[in-house]
Amino acid sequence: MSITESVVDAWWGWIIAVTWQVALLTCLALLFAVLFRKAPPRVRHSVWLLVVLKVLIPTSFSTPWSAGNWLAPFRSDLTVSFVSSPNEVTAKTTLRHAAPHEAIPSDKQSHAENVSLFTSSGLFGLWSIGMAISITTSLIQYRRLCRATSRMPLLDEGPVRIAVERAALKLNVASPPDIRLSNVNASPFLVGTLEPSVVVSKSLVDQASADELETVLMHELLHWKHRDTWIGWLQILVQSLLWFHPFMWLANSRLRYERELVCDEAVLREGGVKPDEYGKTLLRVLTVSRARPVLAGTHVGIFERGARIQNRLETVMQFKDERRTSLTGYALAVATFAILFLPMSASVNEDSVAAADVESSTLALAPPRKDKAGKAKTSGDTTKKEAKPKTPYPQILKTQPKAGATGVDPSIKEIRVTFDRDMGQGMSWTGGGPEFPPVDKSQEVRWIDKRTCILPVKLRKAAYYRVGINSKSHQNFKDPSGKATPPSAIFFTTKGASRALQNKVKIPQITKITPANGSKDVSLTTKQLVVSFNVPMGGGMSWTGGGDSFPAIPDGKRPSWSKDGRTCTLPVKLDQDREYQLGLNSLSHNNFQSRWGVPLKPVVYSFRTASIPSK
Amino acid sequence: MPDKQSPQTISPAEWEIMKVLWEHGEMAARDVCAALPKHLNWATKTVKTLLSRLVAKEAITYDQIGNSYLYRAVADEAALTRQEVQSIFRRVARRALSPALAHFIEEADLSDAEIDELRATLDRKRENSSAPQRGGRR
Repeated sequence: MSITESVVDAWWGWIIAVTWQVALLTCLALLFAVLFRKAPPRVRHSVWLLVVLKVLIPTSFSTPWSAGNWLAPFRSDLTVSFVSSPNEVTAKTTLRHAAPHEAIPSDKQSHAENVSLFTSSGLFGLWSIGMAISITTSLIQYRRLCRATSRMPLLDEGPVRIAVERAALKLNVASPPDIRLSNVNASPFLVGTLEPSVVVSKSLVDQASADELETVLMHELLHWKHRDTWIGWLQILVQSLLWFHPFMWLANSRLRYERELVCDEAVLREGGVKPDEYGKTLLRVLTVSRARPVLAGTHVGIFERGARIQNRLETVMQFKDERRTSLTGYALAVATFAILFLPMSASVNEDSVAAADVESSTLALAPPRKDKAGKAKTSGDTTKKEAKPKTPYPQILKTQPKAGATGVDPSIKEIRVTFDRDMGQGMSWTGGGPEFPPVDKSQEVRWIDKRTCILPVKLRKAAYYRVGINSKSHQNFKDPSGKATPPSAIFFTTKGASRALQNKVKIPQITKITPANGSKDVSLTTKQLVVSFNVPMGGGMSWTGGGDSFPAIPDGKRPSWSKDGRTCTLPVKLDQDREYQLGLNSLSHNNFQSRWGVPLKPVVYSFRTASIPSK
Repeated sequence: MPDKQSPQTISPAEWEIMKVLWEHGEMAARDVCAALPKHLNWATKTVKTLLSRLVAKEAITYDQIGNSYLYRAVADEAALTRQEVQSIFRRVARRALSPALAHFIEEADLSDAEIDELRATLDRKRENSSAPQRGGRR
């Protein structure tokens, strides 16, 4: 996977997660604002600030109560609902119609993945352009404004400067910013981050009374005291990152509005200005500046774009001095909001991918099924449906990629496993080391429905991977009654893998078994069962079965392997006229494995001995 | 939350400005800057800021003549000094004044005349403080 693809992948995961998380948090903040509409504006301002900060918090930040946990069933829809082009609709439809029992044909899946890759790259380009335009525009505006401001006359003494100092004394501001005089009619504003300036228009200085001027400057000083220009830059950053997101625009707008209310309230409370005088001052500023508000987010003013003056005046006139009102309750409410809703990602089970260093030693695949003829049939056909669960424990119905697959497209984003019944929400993706696929941490390991679990991955070309599903010690893939699926594994190679790597995922096949499976009249002189494989085996074995149908093993004899590791011999003592049935591997015992840990699919092995001992 | 600075509280930097204005009378900001001790090396902008703050604190006032401003002290030097000393003693000597006073006297470079004046002040203080006690016995 190239660096570009990695970047696009990481971005795609982040943008999807942050999009739904910000949308949800904005809705919750709106609800909070309605519930706390009587609270001081500082309370609502804090909550909107949290929404803005949310964009910069890792989307994988999670807790057991994260919204992602209860949104998991809808997440796949949320994921695809972002796309819009005709090609993307194909992908969307394909994914949406992937019902729990349905198999997605591999060609369609591949098409969907290709479309998805194309889509994410295209959208990444579009997003980058939008972000660059947004940031560049803001920087250019800011630079122009700073240049213009530096050319404005500095009011370092006289009535305006003295008014600033008076305001600073009342508000306990140690170092009030510089004052610049503008010839342009606009409402006063504060610009700059480290060494800010308050810009006032000449018309306001000429027309406003000393008290009105002091009140206006008090408002601007409060913006400085609250570091609102810094928050303004933060807003520009997140707005640039999510320029397409209407909820982000809404949150920023609400933050700007509440910011003005916070300063209004502080002017009344800390500055001791009477509400009616302050209301008149606001109107005076509005009329003198001819309703020209501040135009950019890099600076903050007494009026900003889209300011709802009537609401503000109503709030000002209804002001009650709450200096003695305890804000502890409100602070607790905001803290609770933050704790409850900032972490939104679905929590990952401890036994899942995050703890991928757990080495599974036991592998198994679905148990053998018999066809109508009663012959043993391997369970490798993972795309076929299974009507009803037949075993008391959950079985793997299918996996993507298929176990043993070679030439897997490294651009696939996830590994899926589908079970034959509804499962609990725990999971144990096991394994570790370089064979375990790198996990895409920007995405969440999740259940897309009750039966299918997804592991987001970032695959490389020409690589061998092995992902365990449960292990002896980690068995969180289990149904709601607590029955765990037997340990299993998905192993595959990606495109470009060498032949040696491809051999590693080969599922062992029996090339010869003596006596033959299903044979009749087996001679009683047969002293051993011999099975040969097409690949070197690991040295373990699982001859399964029991009771009378399992052949007796002579005392002192032990099963053994040939030197090349391809042939296993089981010493037996057979009785005449008897039906023997045993297995090579089973769900719980699968030590017939290739040298690279790929288990033989369970095979039922049966034969019948002759009724008369041969001479 | 820190206490709000009352208009009467004068910072050490502002004291330097006040001393100049008390000594020279009405002055423009540039003249104040020139009259300040050289080691301070303050920019004119700093001096103008301090002057504006002192106006805000009503320690000085100004007259605008054209585009220039002439500043003059309105706060009485003795009253402001007394206030400042009280402020210092409130901060430094919460319970026992004498150790703080003794420290000041030890540190100060006093002439004989100043020592005599201090002694006279202490005598007056003793007389004033004992007078109400006698009156109380009547």
